[in-house]
Amino acid sequence: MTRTTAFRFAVAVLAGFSLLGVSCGADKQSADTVGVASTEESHPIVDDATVTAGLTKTGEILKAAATTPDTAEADWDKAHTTWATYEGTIKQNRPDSYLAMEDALAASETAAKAGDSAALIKAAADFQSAAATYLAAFPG
Amino acid sequence: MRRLLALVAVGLACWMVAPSAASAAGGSRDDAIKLLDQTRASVDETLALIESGDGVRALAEARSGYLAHFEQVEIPLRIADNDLTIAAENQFATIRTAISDGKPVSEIRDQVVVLRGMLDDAERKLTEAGIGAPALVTGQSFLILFREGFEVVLLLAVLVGYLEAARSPQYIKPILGGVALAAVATVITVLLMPMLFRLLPVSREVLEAVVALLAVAVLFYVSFWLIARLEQKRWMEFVRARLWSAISVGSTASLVAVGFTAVYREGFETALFYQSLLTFGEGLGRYVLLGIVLAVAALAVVAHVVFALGRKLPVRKFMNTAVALVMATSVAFLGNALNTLQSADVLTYRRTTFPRLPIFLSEATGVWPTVPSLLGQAALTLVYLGGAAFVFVVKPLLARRISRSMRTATV
Repeated sequence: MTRTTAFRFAVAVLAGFSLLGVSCGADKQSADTVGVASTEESHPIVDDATVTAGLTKTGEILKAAATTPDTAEADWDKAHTTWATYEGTIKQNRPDSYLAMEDALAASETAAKAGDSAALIKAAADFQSAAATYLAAFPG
Repeated sequence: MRRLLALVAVGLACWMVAPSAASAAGGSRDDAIKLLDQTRASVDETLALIESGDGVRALAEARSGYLAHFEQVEIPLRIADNDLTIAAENQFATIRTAISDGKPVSEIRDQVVVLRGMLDDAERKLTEAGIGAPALVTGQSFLILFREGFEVVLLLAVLVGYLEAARSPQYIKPILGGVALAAVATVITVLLMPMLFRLLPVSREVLEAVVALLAVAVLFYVSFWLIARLEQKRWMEFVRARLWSAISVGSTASLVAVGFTAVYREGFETALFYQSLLTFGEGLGRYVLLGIVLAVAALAVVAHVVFALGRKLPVRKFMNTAVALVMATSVAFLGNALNTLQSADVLTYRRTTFPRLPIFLSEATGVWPTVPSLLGQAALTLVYLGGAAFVFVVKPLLARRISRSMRTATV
């Protein structure tokens, strides 16, 4: 191998990594998973009776979580799954209530992670209060 | 030379293709990324209002910014990463609660810094890596290891050459032992560095920025012509002197130490550079690995050419090519460091109206649409260009003039 050949080798390697980078380039995973989703798919709009039932169920789960901090994280997941089925309707009807409920849910999650009973009770009470305000304006 | 030009053309093509690949991928994702930018602006505004003591307006901004912008981002983000969507929602809520509870500014600032990281993560989830960013990161990773390894191979070739010329081949083994120890120490350094950094009492973002700035300083030191040439000479003389003193003492430990010192310096630099590359190449880790694999393979060939075949390599040509790429890497690191300092609110975010590059390309190039990062990158580039002009234009011109005037004086 001569000096020029060695230099050509170095250049070829540099070109090689560029081409390899090109061939490995596209991050298909994120491309494929990001589809077109309608607002309805993400935040379904449901009838008032469903919202009332959902708020009652979420409130009960959060209350239960406050009494059993050991399972609070699992309870919070359940509460959030329920919340996701009707939150779009609340956001559409009354954004202030929506934000108050989201704040209460976030506080509940933080408290669940920290195992903080007092904060869990407060978060559950805040959620109930926001739910009551909403239901007064939009009875199911 | 033609091949080199072709390589540059490939690089430029990659650069140009990447943004179009991202923008062609679909309307909802592009809209979401624009909304993420508006969300960032709203978060900046919220923090500015908090810092100015206007909690009421800060809360209003936090609420409206979330509802008007991030809630729209949630639609595609929920599909890409539901857990991240929930975590970001909760982080927004935590900030709103902290503001309405009148928590201290420092506490709210810390929560905002966490949120900014989540918004970047969200953008990564909504963005294709494209072509340019993986190619650039692979190239940077390859270059860092190959360049440092190349220097080690050259230094070893010189040391082995001395020992053979001095008819003392029995000393080669302990030197190679030192080299092997340095290689192990380098791997340990790479693994330990992040753990040690985590123990320091500063935030992750500040630490990342400081490490990157340190990497920029070292890259500048090893690449800037005016310093690098003197430094290389001094380093070679130092190693040579240590070798001769070790031989004269005849101590194995001293010879091992020579091999260790010669290699570990490069190893430490490599660990530092990879720390920054991995930090700022979030989501591009596999391309960093690809660059390492390619560099190891290329170094194996170079070592074979030098040691087994006993050939000389066109060192100057390679180093001249590599130095420009090293400088570009240091400019990228600087942009990322300054952007991170803004994200950590050490520097105030000053966004420009320049369009934002796809996030992976921003990570690879350090080009973020903020005033401090762009100014910093422009200043460093100017220093490099000034140095190049001095070394390649002014200095030869002066040398020619001096030699001409000396000839005239002699005549």
